[in-house]
Amino acid sequence: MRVLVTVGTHQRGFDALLNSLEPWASKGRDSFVVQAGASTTVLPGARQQAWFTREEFAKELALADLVVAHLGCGIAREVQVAGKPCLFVPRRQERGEHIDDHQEELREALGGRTGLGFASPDDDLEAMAGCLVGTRPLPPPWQSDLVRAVRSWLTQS
Amino acid sequence: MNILLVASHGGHCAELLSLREAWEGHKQLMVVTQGAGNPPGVLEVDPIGEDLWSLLKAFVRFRRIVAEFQPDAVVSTGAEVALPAMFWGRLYGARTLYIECSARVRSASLTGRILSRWVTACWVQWPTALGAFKGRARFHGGTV
Repeated sequence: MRVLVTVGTHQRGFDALLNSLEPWASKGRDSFVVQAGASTTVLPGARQQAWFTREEFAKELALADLVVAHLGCGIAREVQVAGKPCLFVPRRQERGEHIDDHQEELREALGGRTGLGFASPDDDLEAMAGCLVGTRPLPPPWQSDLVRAVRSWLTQS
Repeated sequence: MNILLVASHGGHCAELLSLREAWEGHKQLMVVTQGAGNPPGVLEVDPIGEDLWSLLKAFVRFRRIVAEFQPDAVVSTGAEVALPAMFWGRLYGARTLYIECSARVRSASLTGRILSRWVTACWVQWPTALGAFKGRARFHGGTV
């Protein structure tokens, strides 16, 4: 299985997520590609880079069987558009991973959507991700409404 | 119509790009803070983050950008880079649309709280976020 891991492009790293993935990656069964951002932890056996270009990331997303990610608005949208199952681990303010806990808010809002799972770094991420394999998220439900509304707003005099 | 599009790099930029069909056919300038994964052809500006000095420098930079491009409308999905863009945009006579990030489900960002009092239109991406804006925002859909 090919697993794409991303902690987004935030200026703060997310070492708690990478540390939590270490037991799984160490088994060597699955192939890991990691966009680690400012994190310092290196996942054993993974192809890891701080950043991918937009094109590189899109290619890796298309190839991935599963995504493990922080709960940023960009990746939350991208996995739904691409139909890739994703296990999200929200960043937490108390661990210094973000300025507040809005990623927990997004977790509540997206809860129940097909193909999306949610965990904390203390969980068994391999087991939780295993439950998502073979599922497929649906596209974002309100995207076209927003595009229409923006177009309409722009053409108002 | 000249449309100035503004976002921080990463998720905010991805949200803005996902709406691009809305401004097809208009002259556009997209300004994004410097960072990984930016699309080609955008004007990059220095990141701001939580640094006040960087924010002040951004106000200087955006005055020039707005004065030169003369936008009829400014659209931003945040984050703090929206502050100088919307400030100068309105002063130079443009209509301004701020769309709060989809990660804000029940709360308002500091940028959103400030700009909701300044922009022509402030939209949130979840109906549940409307309460945090005390009647100054509307919901018309979301990118997530």
